[in-house]
Amino acid sequence: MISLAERQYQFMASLLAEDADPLETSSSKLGAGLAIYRNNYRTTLIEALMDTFKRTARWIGDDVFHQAAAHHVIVNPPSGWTLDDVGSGFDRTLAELFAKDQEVSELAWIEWFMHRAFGAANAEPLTVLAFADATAGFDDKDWSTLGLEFVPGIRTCLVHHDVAAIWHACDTDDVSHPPYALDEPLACHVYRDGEQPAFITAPAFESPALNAMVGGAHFGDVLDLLFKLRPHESAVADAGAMLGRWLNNGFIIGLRT
Amino acid sequence: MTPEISPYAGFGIGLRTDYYGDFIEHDVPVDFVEVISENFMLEGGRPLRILEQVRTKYDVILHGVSMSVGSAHGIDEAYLARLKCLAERIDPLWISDHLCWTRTSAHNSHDLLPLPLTHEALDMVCRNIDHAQNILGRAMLFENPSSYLTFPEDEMTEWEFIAAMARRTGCFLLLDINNIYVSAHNHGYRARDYLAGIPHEQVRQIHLAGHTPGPIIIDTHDREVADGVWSLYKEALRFLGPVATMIERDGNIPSLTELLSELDIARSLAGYEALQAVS
Repeated sequence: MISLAERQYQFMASLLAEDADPLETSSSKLGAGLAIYRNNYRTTLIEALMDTFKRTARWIGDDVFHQAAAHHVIVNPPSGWTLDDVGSGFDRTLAELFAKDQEVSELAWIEWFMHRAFGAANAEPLTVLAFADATAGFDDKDWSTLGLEFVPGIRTCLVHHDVAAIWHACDTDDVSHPPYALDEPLACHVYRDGEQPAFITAPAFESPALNAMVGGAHFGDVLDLLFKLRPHESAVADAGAMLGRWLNNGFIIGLRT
Repeated sequence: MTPEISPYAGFGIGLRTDYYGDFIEHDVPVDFVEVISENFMLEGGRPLRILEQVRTKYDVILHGVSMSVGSAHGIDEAYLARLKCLAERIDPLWISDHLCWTRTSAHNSHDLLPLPLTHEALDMVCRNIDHAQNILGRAMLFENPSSYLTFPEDEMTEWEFIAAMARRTGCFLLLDINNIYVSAHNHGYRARDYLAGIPHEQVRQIHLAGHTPGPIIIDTHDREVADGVWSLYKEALRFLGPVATMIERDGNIPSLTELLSELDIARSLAGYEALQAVS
């Protein structure tokens, strides 16, 4: 008799197969049932992707999205216990499928990390006043060694399209495609504002700066990065403005000195 | 030894996002709500805040879809740890999941897949349930599945499998009347034999739901409870007596008023059967 493990391995292989299983296409009762499970499996995963990537679907159209989603679940069958993880890497799948339309994967990246931010741990952002109090006595060395703690779920990347305009176009169902390409890339930060996931665009230098500081770098390391890009005074001013934006948007929850 | 779960005879519905506002802002005439555990196994954010608010007014049941007690590869320990955290946070009436498998060591189907009804599968299910109940520190309820196929290696009926599972693990049962109806039709057995064959004293909850008719009936939870399922519910109440009952709706979500009207049918039937029992 077939073992339980072998039966489950065979069953799962039938669900994951790109084409219908030979058993399924036969007239057997087992085959008819298997076809239902196979359809349920695909439908569940594609609907989960459709739910997470609503604007991406609107941007490229439901039929095209459906094909891309089907391709994604065939190439990346889920392994984790949560259905939420099905969207992991979908932006990369879209980057391959829409190599000439990079805004598609940029939009999907934003939707994916907004989805992740939605269920991220709660944290109370530091107010501008509290930050000013905490850093009032700082000298140059203190600023240089300052580290920051950020709200859980925050992510950043560079985008090459006006993603805010595309987002708005999707919301208004105006998905005509004028040239949304940017002359210069922008940073795009995804975070949660209270209970609401959100994203903002910012000058491009903020993306490597935020990534570095989320990864534990000091403010001095960020200044060094900026000194390589622009004159000393301008770099200090830009870094200050960046910190102000991060505080005003509630990105920072604590200091590490 | 896992603790006993006391009988509880209220009426409830599945808490879906469409109803969040009603449950937060008004008093909804239900005794409990059931939520899909996985939707709240998060680090933070709105869903958990809502659930905690709802919990201050209603009993909550955590109903999972991903424990996979039928898996030959055991239970995902990270999953169990997350579920335990949620249970400690919410203090549910009880925790339930399904008699099914969803995963192998490599992949997850995110569907409730049928088990071969063999002694080997029974041993595996009992080991996995024992482990889950030990980690969670409480007895669980397990739901009878709906299914669209049977396996040539089956060695017993589903009700024999479930009776043995409950006897060996001390787990309780969540009896889905629609699932019995669906599987009885799909596999050609008598639903009454199923009802008669399960250990009635272990049943703590009933699910009612709608299905899509056809040569193979599909358990879709996207429409009203069918007449045949209501009839089977009445028959189940004669075996079970008063038992917690809820309506599951996962697609084509109706207004709360419509769903509560449907729940009133369950209340009326349960009241009638209770009167019949004492007269």
